[in-house]
Amino acid sequence: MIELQLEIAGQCLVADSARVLAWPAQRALLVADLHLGKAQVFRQAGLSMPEGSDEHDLRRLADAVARHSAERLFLLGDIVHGATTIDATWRHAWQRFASAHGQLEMVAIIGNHDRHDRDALVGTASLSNGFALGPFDLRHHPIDSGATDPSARSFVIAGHLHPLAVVSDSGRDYRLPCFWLQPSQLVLPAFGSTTRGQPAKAGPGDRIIAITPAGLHEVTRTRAVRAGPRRG
Amino acid sequence: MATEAARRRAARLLRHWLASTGRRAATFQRTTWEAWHRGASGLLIAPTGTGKTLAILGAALVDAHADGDPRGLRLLWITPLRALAADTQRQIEEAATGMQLSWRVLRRTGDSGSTERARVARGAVEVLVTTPESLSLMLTHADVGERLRWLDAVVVDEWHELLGNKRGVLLELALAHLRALRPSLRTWGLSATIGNPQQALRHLLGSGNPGELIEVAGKRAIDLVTALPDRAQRFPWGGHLGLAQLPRVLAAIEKSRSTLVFTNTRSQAELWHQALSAVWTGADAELGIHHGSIDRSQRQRVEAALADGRMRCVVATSSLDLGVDFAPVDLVVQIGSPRSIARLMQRAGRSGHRPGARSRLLLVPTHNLEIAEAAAARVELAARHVESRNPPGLSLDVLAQHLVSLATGTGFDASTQLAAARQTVAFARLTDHDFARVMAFVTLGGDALASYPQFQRVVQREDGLFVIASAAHARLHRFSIGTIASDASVRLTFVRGRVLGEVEESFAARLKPGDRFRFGGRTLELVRLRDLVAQVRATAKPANSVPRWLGGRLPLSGTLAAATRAQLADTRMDSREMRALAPMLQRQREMSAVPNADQLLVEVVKLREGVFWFLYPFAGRLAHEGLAAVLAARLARLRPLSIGYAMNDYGVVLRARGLPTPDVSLLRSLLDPEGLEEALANGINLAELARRRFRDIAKIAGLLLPSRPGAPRALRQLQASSGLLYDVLSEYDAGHVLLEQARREVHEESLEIDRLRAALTQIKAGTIVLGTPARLTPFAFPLWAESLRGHLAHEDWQSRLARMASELEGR
Repeated sequence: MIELQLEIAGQCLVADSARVLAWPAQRALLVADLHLGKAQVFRQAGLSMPEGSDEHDLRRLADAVARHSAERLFLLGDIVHGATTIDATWRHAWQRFASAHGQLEMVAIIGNHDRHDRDALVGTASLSNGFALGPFDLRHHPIDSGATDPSARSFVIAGHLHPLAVVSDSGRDYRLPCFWLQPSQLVLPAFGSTTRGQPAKAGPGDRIIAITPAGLHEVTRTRAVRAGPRRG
Repeated sequence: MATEAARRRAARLLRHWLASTGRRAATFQRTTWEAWHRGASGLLIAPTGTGKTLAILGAALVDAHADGDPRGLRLLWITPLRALAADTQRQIEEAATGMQLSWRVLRRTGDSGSTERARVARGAVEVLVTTPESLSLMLTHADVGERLRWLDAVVVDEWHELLGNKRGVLLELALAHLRALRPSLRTWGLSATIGNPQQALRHLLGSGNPGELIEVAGKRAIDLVTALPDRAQRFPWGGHLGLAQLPRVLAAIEKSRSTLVFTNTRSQAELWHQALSAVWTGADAELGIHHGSIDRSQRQRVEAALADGRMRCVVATSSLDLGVDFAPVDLVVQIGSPRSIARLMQRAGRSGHRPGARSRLLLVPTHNLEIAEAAAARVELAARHVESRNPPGLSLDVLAQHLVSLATGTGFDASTQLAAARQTVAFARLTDHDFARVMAFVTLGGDALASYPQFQRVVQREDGLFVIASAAHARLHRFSIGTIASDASVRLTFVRGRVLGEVEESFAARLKPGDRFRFGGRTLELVRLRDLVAQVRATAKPANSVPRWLGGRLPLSGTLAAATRAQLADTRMDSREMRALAPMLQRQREMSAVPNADQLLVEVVKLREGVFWFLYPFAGRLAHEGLAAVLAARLARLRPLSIGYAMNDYGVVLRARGLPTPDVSLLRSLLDPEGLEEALANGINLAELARRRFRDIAKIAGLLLPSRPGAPRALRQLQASSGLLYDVLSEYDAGHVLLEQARREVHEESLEIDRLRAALTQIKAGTIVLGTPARLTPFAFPLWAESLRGHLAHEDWQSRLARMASELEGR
């Protein structure tokens, strides 16, 4: 796995190409937009999306927790995709994950999707609408980029947007999940492997760190891959 | 049942009405009426403007009159184009009035509401003009049988437009269903001249239904002129836009009353419109633009102005290939390759609609070989060598959509529907196994049962019928119905709200506020993009980007490709075009060679960037892409190579460092038709082609819900990209029936494997001419220019990205 160190608000954070953000000093791991049960929501609507992605994602999450020796896990919203039946398979997978990580402190910030199934997380994680962690304000919805949000004095770490970096090659575009670093906030890539997204509309001074199969790469606004990462 | 006397009286009235409008029945029209009155079905093939519509309509009018003008829906008229529906309705109403019938003609191009359905059900409509998609929607309502209980005949207009694609397949299934509901139903098709009339007839009527084929030879003359560059003028070699020819085009437009300028792509249309505007001396309102992304009301204004002669010139894409006739149009200009004789005839036929007028056509080649193509087109056009429209292969995605439609309507019995599908020619050879897989897809999600827990779409009721799972599922299905696929679209509006049209999401997503682009003949500046709406304002500053649309590029037809080869090999140079091309061909001959019809020319050129192989099979760009994949796979067996390729309609170029200098025997082994499928399967990029192909399939089968403006909010949770769906299916259910469909279509259509096999077989039987010119030849240059943008044959997109990244890192 390939990592990139980021200096933010005087803290050393680590962007990980597994689509997670680690704060080693706090043994904390931050992920956004799991969208568990999305395949199930699709199947209920008659769209063939096969089983397996939730298990796979929770396995990826467990790997990331282990790799960073995380003791606290912050889920920045949209953990659940939509309303599913009580015996939906993702619930069992989630329960297994939770019981296998009994020592892990889990904080779930409620996102717009989670309102469909708020109860799903009760008992496994403490629920919150936002969370102050050191100099960071953890939330689901990012603040309006450009505008200074008076309610957010501290540096915001958020999800919700599923930002994508658009990389062009030979006249074809590739869309890659990315970390979108703005002057006063960091938008995390969506973690769930069944999520799609929107191109990040990067402003001047923003940094786009794309997740490619070969690792993390910073993308300039010309949409070409230019700079290489420092390898962690 | 009408008596013979009543029918004779009705026929007399028809003749009188025709005479009163200055017409008399042509022989083919009388032949059609007689066949109709015998109760026969059939296909009428005639050029546009000869009175096809009346040939069919007359028979239906006589029947209705003889039967005493009965109430209830008797005639279903299906048109592929919404734009044609209004004109058709008007024609039918006029004729009915002329025959003293009180027909009520309803036009319906979307789903119908319950009041309208009730109107049809109680017999308050006699004729329904509709589209294939709208007919499918009709099947999703349980009262369909009630509404069609008086139906006598179904007429399919412009059948040649539907035959070659999945809309035609969907219609075949719907027609089979109508015939099951009404066994005495007549089915009639109308078609322009095509190369495979018998096949067209069989597909229209279904297996085992004999029918009448009535063909009318086109007599209308077409004057074809090619715009040739001056001797002194250096003609661009690459695939340029041919704007150098602008003065000639303008002069021709000025000499004509009204002109249609056809281009092959929408971006080309925008560029030509812009170039013409810059030199236009007439009123601004007399120059227009028309393409599929422009808002319908604006297109309609352009069409109306064309029809009544207020328009001097309209730049258009295939959006104007079909549609109502514009009598004032007396010149058609084709920019670039027409790609097929059928298309050229269709476009030429848009001019000269007044009696006794000729069609005038100006061809504007955009590079050298297109000059030879123009000479070839003239010969083939004169001989009326029109291409076949080949129906698509087994389309299980379309069958799935049809079955869900039936489940949404009355519900269906599986074995009855298997038999009904086999009544169509499209599914005549449908195996039990494939049908079972489609059933598993609509009822379980896929055949791997364990992979789709709690899947709900079509369920089996206690009485054995398969029905839709819920009203919500029914709504979802109706919303996503239809087989015409397009990219998600973003609506383009002025800030104050006026709608301008639609652009593809992939284009809109690249724009930033302040970016300027040409659209619909204006320069616009993006103000903001929100959800699926882009707000723009007009600007006087120049554009800095041109919208790209992803419309598929048609390959050059086999007929035109072979004729172009013949022109190049013919040393008599007996046409203006070939005489103009003589210096270029002389140069080609000196540097390398000009191949005969049974020769394959291969040129190997060493340049700074590496060794280039140029091959010229003249098999069309799609087959050439397949050829590149085959060559790359076979070369990779000899030694590991990263091979770049590019193609056009005439040839293909391979480029790599370390590419060997071939001899004829190596080329022969690389080009062996034996083991073609295997070699293609080894070309890894097949997976990427399948991934692209999957988009349309997923839409048709209802997996990808349209994200068009105005979609219900509830759909938001159900949006996914086709790439994501493809990846998830590949990961967890690699054998899914739709993934197999995508792979099959890549072989049959994306790569035209049959055409490639034919080309390789021809190469095997012929000779290979191997040249090693020191520099690029005139044939090679356009390919080389294309290769600068090149593709890599041997990588999927992920490894390609990894390579891009690592190359950049190394700097």
